Amino acid sequence: MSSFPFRAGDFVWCAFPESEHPVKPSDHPHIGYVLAVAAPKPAPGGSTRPPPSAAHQAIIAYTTSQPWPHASGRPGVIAFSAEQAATLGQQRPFVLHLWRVAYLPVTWSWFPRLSMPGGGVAGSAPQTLRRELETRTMDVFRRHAENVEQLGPLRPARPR
Amino acid sequence: MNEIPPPKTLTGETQPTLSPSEIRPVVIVAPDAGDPRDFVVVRELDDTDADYQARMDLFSLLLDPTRKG
Repeated sequence: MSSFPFRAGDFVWCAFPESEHPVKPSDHPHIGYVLAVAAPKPAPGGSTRPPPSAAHQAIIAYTTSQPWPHASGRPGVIAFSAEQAATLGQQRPFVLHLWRVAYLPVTWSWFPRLSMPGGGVAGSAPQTLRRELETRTMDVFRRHAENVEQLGPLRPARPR
Repeated sequence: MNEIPPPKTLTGETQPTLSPSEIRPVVIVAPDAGDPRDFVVVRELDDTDADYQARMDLFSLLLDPTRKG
C-alpha cells in the first residue's frame, strides 16, 4: 500500500478509549475525527511520508450521536445536523468534541477496520471545514488546555 | 467431552499446570511507542506548504498544550 489508510480531516472508525480505561481500546467501535497522523521522525534527508506502519500514531477527537444540549454554547463542541452529517458519511446528526482527544497507535486493536477496504474511513471533511476545525482545535488547546481530556496510550504526559 | 490440551511454550515444551495459589495477576502495560515528540506529521501529496505547516503547528500544540504559540 502506497498511501495511508486515513488522513487528517477524515472521520474514521476506532476503538476510542473510555475515560475509565484511558489506555484500553473500547469494545464499542466509534467514529472519531482525525486531527493528525504522525510518523517517527525520518532520518536527515529521509521522506516525510514513510510507508504506513504500526509506529504511526493518530490523534483523534471524539464524536457522539448522543444529543448534546449545550453544543452550540461551548467552543470546541461542534454540532452537525443530519444533512451535514450525511455529507460527511454519517447516518445521524452528531457532535464533535474537541475537548476529548485520544492519542493512538495506528494498529488493528485501535482501528479495527484498518485492513478493510477504505481503512474504516466513514467520511471526510472538505478542506474548508478541515481548516476551520484545525483553527478551533488550536483555540481550545491554547485557551483551555487544562480542561481537555487526553486519552490513549500515546497521550503526552501532563506537566506537574 | 474433549479435554483441553495443556499449554505449550513457544519452543513446544508443555507448560506446567499451576495451582490457583501460584497464579499471579498479569499487569498489561501499554505498548511503548517511544516519545511522541519524536514524531512528525505525515505530509499528504496534495498538501501545500501552508497546509503542512499549519498541521505541524497543530500537532505541536496537541502534544504540548501548555505551549501558547
